[in-house]
Amino acid sequence: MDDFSYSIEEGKRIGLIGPNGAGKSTLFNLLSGAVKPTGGTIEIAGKDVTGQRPDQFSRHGIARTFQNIRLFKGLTVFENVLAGFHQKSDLNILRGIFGSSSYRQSEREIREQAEHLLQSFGLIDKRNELAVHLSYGDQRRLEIVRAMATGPRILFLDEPAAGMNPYESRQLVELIRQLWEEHRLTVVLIEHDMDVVMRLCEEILVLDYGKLIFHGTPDEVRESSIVREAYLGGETDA
Amino acid sequence: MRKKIWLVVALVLLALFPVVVTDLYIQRIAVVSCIFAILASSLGILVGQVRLVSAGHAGFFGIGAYTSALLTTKGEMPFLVGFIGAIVLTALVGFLFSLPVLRLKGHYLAMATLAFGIITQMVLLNWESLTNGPNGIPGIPYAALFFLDLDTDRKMYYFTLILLLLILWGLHRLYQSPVGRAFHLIREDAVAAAALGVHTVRFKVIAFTLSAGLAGLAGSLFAHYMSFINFDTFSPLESFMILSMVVVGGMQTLLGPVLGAVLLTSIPEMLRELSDYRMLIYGVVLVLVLLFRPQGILGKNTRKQLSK
Amino acid sequence: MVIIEQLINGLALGGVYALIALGFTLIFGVLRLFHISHGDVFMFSGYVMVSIAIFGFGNLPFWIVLILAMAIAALLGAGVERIAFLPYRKSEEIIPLISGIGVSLILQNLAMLIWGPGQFNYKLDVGIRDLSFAGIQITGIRVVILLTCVVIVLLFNYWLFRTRTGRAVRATASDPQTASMMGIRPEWIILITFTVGSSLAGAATALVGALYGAIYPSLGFSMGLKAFAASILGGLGSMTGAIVGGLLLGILEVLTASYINVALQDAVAMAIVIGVLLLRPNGILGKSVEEKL
Repeated sequence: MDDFSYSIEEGKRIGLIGPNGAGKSTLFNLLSGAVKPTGGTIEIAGKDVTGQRPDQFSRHGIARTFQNIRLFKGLTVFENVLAGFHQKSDLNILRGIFGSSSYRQSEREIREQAEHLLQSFGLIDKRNELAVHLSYGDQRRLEIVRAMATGPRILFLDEPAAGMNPYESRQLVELIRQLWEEHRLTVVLIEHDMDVVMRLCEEILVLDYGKLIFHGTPDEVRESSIVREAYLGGETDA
Repeated sequence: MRKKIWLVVALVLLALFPVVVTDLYIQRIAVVSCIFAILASSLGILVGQVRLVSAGHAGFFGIGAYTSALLTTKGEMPFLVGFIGAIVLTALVGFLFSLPVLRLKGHYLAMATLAFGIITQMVLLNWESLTNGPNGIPGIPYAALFFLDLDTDRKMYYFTLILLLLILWGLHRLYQSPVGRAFHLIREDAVAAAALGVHTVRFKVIAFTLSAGLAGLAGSLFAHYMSFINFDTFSPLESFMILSMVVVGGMQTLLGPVLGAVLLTSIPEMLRELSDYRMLIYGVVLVLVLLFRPQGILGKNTRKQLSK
Repeated sequence: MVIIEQLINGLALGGVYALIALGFTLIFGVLRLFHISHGDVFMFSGYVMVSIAIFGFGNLPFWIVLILAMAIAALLGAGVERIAFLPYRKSEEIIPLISGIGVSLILQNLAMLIWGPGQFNYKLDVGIRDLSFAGIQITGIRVVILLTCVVIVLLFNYWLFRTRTGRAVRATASDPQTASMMGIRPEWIILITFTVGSSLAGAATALVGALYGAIYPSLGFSMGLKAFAASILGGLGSMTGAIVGGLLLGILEVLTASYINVALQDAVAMAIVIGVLLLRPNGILGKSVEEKL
């Protein structure tokens, strides 16, 4: 990143766009702890979290999906979602081995929650299928379900509509909007599909060469000559 | 329900084994198989559940054996002290070793564990004041439980078998618990796991410590059964053998390492004339199994798990 | 000047290590494969070389023995690759590692069965007299080693950077997908890499034979270990690093044997491995490979 400074307001739906190599995924990696910054600070709700590990970021309420879907391929749909409940599970080894009642209770609860989540996302019939056997669109959805299982406050979605046809991407937009409303999330979205970005986001950040070259409402971005220059047209005609 | 019946049948057969088979040589093989089954299972935690390559596991085996042997010979302590001491000390070594080393990835980690195995053997050989150097430690007393001396093959068989079963039960429960799930998540995709809140280093350290402790346990049993140990047993070659047991049996399964241990311990022993060829057979079996059934004998046939 | 003599001896020994390490690093750099049985290929080809050269044809001139050893090792390496590594091209990294262990077990024990488990002593005459000048004496063998290493490294460099196959290998090393899209067939590259890498080990085995005149089945393991140490010291994946690492290791070993304790010579490699892994896993010249997230 090049002198990047921004403050994400709680509850907003934000889009992150820019030509390839602009640093969008790098920004996500920085903001989720996957990569450590060489300079500067990162704060979440006023707390300095610079240099922390990704699992610590997760505990602060950050959840993310990945550009090239990182599902647990060898595990089933259900196990993938269950993975999202890691932090809510009873991680005590002895209790796990000897099965105390509080442990069994905790396991029951998270399994119920996982089932419930799968139900509301319409993936419940596929619960025992291996994640790798799902259709592309379902895999992307599963990754979002899994991220939601962690109960996040902020959801970073890295190109969730990649490879989707217009019908699928409209459904995705609906889904994300629904999640945003129900869970009062903050959503940050990297996308090349301008249709998705324009429909979903209230504010758009434009990156180029690691720099924030513009930010504003979708209309402002559409009008901006700076953006047009950097971008030279989007992937989809808006 | 059917599974439970098989389980009961298997347990009954195992319990009756030394009564039916009285040939001492075969009983001996059975005891050694149980000990190596525990050892292989301990490596299975690392290689199978978390996918951490450990190429120096014989080092932990040796530390456990020597600790127990020394506490009971020079230290003149009773067996149980040696036993527990071996477990605790080896787990501690595993813990301390894992802390700096788990930062390393893939090949580097394998090299570090290989180095650990080699250095441990060198220490066992050269720290003469403690370990008696190349002469090893003779006269290790029988294992003993408060009232009972385990001085026959049959008694030792039951003891090691019960320990093995308890350990397998514990591992079974562990692998199904959130901790076990965390292991699997790290194995499948450590980056995604971390993004979901899994403290990967912490769980790797847990796996390592547990694995080391169990290897130490096996070491103690070995020492008190063999009544003599020396550095030669705890070599990199031995580490590779244990690794092959895990892989041949099926590294991601609970019983795979057990099966691998039983097969690779008993079959060469029973084919007595071929004992010179034992290591050669190991190598050939290893290559063949990987060629035709890389998931091991008990492994599931999901190619997905093995292709990039 | 004793120290200069020792440095030269260290360089000679280091040159041998560098050759083995170079082969190992080539395979690792191109194929991302930790060839754990590289040392055993070295050992086994040494045994075959000795059998042919000494028992088969009496006293052959050294340079023929050298080329013979390289050819044997190249063939053996290619064979090993076909059986134990080619099938796992697309598998998880752990599988070829374990397969390599199997190969290691096979080669070591086969050697034990064929030639016996003990140390076998022999003499390889290099036919060059000792060199002495300015109060320094260098044994003929060491002169030969130094010259051979330089020549081989130069030839290797030429092959890697100036020939079509060499360039294809380098292309595959830096970007396998693009390379295969440009028509470079990966199976071919794997075979070439193994063949060339193993032939370097063959050269080393001839040189070691001339230097020490002894071979035993577990020599492969200890040499392999020194190759790993040299490679990671120089930086895993860097070929210049392998050479630098090998030379440094040789010098450190000779100095340790002379000034500290002869018995600790073999421990130097281990100390280097630990030191590098703890302090600077990327080695002197290595680059860290970032994972794409």
